Amino acid sequence: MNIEELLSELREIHALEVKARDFYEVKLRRFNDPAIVKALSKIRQDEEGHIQIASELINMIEEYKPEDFILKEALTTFTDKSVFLLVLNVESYQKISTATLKYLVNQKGFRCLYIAVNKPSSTLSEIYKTEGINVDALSFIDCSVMDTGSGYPTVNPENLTELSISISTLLKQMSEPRYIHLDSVSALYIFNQSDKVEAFTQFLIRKLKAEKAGLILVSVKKEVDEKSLQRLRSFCDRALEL
Amino acid sequence: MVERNEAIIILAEGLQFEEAIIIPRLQTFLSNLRRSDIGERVKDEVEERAIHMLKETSEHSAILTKLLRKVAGGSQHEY
Repeated sequence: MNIEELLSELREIHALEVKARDFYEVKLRRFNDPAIVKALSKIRQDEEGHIQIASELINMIEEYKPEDFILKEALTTFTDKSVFLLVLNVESYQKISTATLKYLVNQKGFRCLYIAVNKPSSTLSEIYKTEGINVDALSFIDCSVMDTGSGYPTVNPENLTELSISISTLLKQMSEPRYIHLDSVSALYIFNQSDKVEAFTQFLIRKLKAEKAGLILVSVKKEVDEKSLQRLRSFCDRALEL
Repeated sequence: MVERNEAIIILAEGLQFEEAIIIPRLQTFLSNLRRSDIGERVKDEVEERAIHMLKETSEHSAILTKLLRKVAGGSQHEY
């Protein structure tokens, strides 16, 4: 079912609701029985509300832009001084995070320091190879497992100080343009108190701005409470909810 | 003021419109929406509002059924 077909169905529903409203409008005037007049007036009023809802849904779908379009449009403005927050649904999280990495590495030529909190680097490398991402441009810090044998440094996600040190060390070895892909900042909230994660994020942003490296913060929706999410949004140049 | 038989026809017409036309239309729309390519965030928002319309339409159907029973079973000649 494409968008045009959905729109056509919604326009039909809108027309039916108008017809229903007009029907009750005319017919309720013929009744004198107070209970019937009251009931039909309530239905007529609801139909008026349905007309309004159907109009709003038509507008919403007419103005709808696919998520990958919104994402690419935003990423064209991403530079080595940008800080973007991606707030993603659990269903689309992997797809959008991968699309972001692919665009920045393959299209914009960034080198990426990938902080893997959710999945081990070995798994991610395989996924990204299959996706046609230039994995030679990627370096990893593994936070999901200890001693992976991958050759990449491993850091306990509870130890944010050590994570900062590892980022500094690896960043120095990377040529420009470069950025950090933190996958995910929301997972850090599982291992740390929110104020610690936010202090770490702020520190990281300041550091990266000074060192000319961009930052993508990935957050999975509902893993972080709204108050913390609001604070993360305030740190970033741009926040996308997809 | 409307006669009893005419009242029954009006209420039955309303009930038929709600049950046989609007409810199936909304149900089809919801099912097509789920299978569509629209992103999850917009899909959830549209779905929530369409479900609201469906619930209210089902309530209308219940209200009209109740009124129809009252009129059909009543002794009054006019409503």
